[in-house]
Amino acid sequence: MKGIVFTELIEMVEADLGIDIADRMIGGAETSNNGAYTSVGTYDHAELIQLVISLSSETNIPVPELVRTFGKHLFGRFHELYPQFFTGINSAIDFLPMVETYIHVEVRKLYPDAELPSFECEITNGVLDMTYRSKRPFADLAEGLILACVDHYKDPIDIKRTDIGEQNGTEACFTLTPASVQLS
Amino acid sequence: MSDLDLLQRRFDRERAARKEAEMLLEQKSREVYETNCQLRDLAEQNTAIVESAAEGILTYSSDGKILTINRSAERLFGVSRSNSLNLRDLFEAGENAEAVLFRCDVDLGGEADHNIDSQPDADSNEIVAVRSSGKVFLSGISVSCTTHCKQKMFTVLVRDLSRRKRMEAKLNQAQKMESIGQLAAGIAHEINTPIQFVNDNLQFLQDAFEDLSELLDLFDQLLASVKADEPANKLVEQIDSQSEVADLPFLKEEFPNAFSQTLEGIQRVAKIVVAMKEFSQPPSEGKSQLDINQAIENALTIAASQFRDVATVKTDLQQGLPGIVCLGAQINQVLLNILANASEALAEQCGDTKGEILVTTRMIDNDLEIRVEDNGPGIPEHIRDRIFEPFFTTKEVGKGTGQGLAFVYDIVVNRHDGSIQAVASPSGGTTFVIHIPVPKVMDTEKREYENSIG
Repeated sequence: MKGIVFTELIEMVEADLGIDIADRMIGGAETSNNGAYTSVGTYDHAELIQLVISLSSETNIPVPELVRTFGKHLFGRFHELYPQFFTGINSAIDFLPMVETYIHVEVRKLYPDAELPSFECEITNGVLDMTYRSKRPFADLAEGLILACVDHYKDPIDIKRTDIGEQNGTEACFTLTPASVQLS
Repeated sequence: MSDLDLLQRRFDRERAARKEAEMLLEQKSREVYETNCQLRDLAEQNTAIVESAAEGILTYSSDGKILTINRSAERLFGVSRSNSLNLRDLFEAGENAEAVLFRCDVDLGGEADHNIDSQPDADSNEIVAVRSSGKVFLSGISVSCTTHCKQKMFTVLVRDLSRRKRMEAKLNQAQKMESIGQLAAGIAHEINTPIQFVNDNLQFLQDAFEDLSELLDLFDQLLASVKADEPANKLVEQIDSQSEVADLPFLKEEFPNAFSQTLEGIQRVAKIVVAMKEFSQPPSEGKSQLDINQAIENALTIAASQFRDVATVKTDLQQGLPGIVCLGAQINQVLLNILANASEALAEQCGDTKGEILVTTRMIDNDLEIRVEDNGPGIPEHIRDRIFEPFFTTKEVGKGTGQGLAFVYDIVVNRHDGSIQAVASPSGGTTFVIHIPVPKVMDTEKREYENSIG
């Protein structure tokens, strides 16, 4: 997993909960490098899970909620760091299918060995079905990203999540129904 | 833990992260350097390949401006890459040249910087090229189109076909001469047989006439004696004796046979000569009307010696077929080549029993269909698609030029917009199915044909 996810998590915790909590999260996670992550590095995704579990025990906030919150934070950061991906897009329904067809293509140009999740998108009668599949159980992270995306575009959209496959967070289908479709 | 301690720990993490980032940066720099070296090597290798290629290779933009040109192309056209060149100066202008050189089968619009828009021509095109000296030559070219940095770029491979065309002409001439030689030998054999029995019969008639001549002399003498009231007993005895020598009853019985056989032999020779005359009409630029059934009969007559020992030929020719407007001499040669192919196939497996060749003609919708079926060994599936390729042959080196069926394909498909297929016969052999469209100008005749069968 790319280091930016780790550095953003630590920065989010430092900013929102303080450096004391961030330090205890790192200490409790007992990661291989004691939390010395660089955004351009690549690290075992299990360390991210260790960090979130450690944060959960420090804050008593459930892991899924923490991961979703982190997903929302990550979307905002991506928007700041990579504005070119958002140029000319005016709705979440238009943006989300581009994650697979455009953003991941660009990521692979910089990191050919990146193991990215897949987002299979299908739009039927204005309803977007976005299926997340990954080797890692980060459906909650994907949900946070999608929720933040919908908030970003201020689209009145109903989001329904259905866990599929082994129901272990590696596969989930997100159905995004715009309010205009619901009304009709 | 005090804030100072927390900050110290954070500082330590940041320093460790920075060192790791520096290490990664070094590693990436090294990878970039090595990749650059590989790219340089690859570029040099590609340049060497392009520069040493036997074919002329040029790249050019949509407006014809030549972007790159290799050494072979410089030699071929007698130009230098240091001069500003335009592709249109290297080929004779014409709609065909323009369409071939600037062909682009796929629209632009690819997101990638380098996009292959079209595959190179599988079959190269032949267009007239111009050297800087003004001398023209026939070139074979393959064009492909790519999109590079959102600009359309064409690549053309050019070969000078002058030498190949000369060789092909020589080979065609040699093949033609070989065919003529084989035909001449076959026809000589065909004519020799009737000539022999014509000769035998005439010899018989000549011998018989010598005997009869003596008898006729005796009759003349008898007539003179009778007129002069002289005794003729001795002459009558001589006539009796000579009649026995001449064997008049035998001659009376055999003369009609000798005459009819002689006439038959002469008619057979005449038929062959007529067939040859019709068959060997000089090739002309224009098309003329041809009775396909008659053409088949002629071809069978001419080629009879080729398959007499290996096959029995049957025909099932639809009567009243409309004449087809075609290149008669070439269609005749097509028929001969197909028949020769069938007889050679049968000769390969010729045992004690002869094979069979069946030739049929039919009108199928607007096409005239000619089927030549044999019960030979058949054509293996894996080469069936290749038999019409020029120079493709399964015969031993020196025994086949691989031009016979290529010629057939060229004449039927390219010169008459027809089609030809080699399909497996139910008997295990091969059936060549030729379709030649009957042009609209033949509609009246076609209606007559339809009325005749309706």
